[in-house]
Amino acid sequence: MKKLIITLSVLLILVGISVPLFLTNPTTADYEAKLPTEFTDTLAKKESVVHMDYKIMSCYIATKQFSSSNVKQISYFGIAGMIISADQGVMKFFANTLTWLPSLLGGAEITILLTITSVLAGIFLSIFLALGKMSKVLPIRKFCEAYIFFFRGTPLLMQLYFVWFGLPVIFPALTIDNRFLAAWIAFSLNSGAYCAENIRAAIQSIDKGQFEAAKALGFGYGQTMIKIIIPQTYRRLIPPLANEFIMVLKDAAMTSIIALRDLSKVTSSIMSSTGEVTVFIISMGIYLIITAAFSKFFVFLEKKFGIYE
Amino acid sequence: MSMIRTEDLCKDFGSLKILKNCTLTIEKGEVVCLIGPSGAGKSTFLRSLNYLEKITSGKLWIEDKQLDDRVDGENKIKISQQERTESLLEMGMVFQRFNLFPHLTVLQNVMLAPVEVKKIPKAKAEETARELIKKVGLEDKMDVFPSKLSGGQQQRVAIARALAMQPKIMLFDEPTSALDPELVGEVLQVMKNLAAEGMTMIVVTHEMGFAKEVADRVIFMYDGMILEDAPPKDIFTNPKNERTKAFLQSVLNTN
Repeated sequence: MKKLIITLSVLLILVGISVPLFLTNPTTADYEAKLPTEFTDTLAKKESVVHMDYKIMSCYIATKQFSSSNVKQISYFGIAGMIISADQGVMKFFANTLTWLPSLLGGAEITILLTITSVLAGIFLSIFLALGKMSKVLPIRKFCEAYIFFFRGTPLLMQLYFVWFGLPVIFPALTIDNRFLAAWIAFSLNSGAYCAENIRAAIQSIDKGQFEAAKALGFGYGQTMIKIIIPQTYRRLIPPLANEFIMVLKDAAMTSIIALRDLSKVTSSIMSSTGEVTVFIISMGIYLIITAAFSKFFVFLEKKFGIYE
Repeated sequence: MSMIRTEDLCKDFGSLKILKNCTLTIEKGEVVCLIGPSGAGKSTFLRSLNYLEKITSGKLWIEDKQLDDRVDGENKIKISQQERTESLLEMGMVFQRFNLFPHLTVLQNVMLAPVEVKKIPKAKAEETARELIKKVGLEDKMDVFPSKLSGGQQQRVAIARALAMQPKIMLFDEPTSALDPELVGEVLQVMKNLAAEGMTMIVVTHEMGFAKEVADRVIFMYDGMILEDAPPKDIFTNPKNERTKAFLQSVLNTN
């Protein structure tokens, strides 16, 4: 109840603030009128205008290129009916942020998608690897051990290189021409090896008495695992899996090397095209927000699966 | 027809001999208490009956069905996993450390095996489970997780869970050793009731009072061997073996 009241009042305040901002948001015409005449009147070889309109605030950047070394740029930041010059300082940072935000968020989307899909695939794979590594059948156990040894023992960067550059040359049939798919394959295979060790540790941390009780009640191995042992590993698995998610989220920056437009790649290309280093700050901020959201979600899961403790 | 019969049961852990030629017959409805110093092999003997420990050699019959893999003349007889499980289901086991499933409520703990192993319909299994939980006096704890229960309550749930499989024999492996002294009574009471109903029971215990009062036979084990097998009044008043005498003296004096 208390939570509901707080949520509602926060919403109300947000609406109260955004409606007047929305109504007074400067239009393109407002910005054009603000440009100094000596800028609009001069002729340039190339000119471009970027107007990012976020409805409650906006920015406007006009660029004129006279020659390769002579570029003139005028930036504005608009909020609440005001148009503020954003050619330097904090206002410039704001205007830049608004300008870059769509492409950065596009990159972030790819990063998040890659992280979630590859860790989920990795977890799925790792259940079999973990059970295989505990198997009594020697060939299965050896295979799983070798798999885990290989993927934990070689750099993820090499594995990524191999899937993208190596496979098409060595096994032309296995050519993968989608950058996201290639990254997903390398990350899933790698993540599977790491998660397998987590899952194995979690299963082996379950009291031996649980296996004995299950056996005495007539449960087979599969039933024991599915009904009794694995459900008890959920809560113990959440901290290491949260760790894995966050690791992969940051490792996803490596996909820049195969030119997948993830958050890091977008950041570095903005940096190289504009020369603005402030983009790194924004990018790191986005990473932190994603990490915080993941952590929060895992704390929630830990509580949910830990009700019996 | 005997419920359990063993002949020359042996169990080695590497070069260590835990059980040495244990021969024993238990009839239907008997309550047998296994006593003896720690390390005597009482628990191992009990766990061998249930195949929680694989026996090294010897013969084992449950309800006159021989369960050990053996060589019969030319033929090697191997008992299939399923066949063995079926016979072993005639035995319910209660552990020293309860071993309840912590992620399930009391009711779910008792219901799980009948539903998953015996494929009994859920509604029917739940009805039986509720009755059993009531029988061990925990009707107000149906939907509580084991971690919220005292040791004595957990052990009673464990007994109900074993009974849910409708076993003909109950094996108790030191059921009260992990309990606070004031909680021992409630568990022993449940066991006494079971004995009164005619359940065949084998109890590894240090509760001499329980053995005296409830057991039909008391078996003294020492160093992997069965040294004495007699009704409680004989064994407690007039032990024949020197070891038994020494053991009982030390135990009864401290009590």
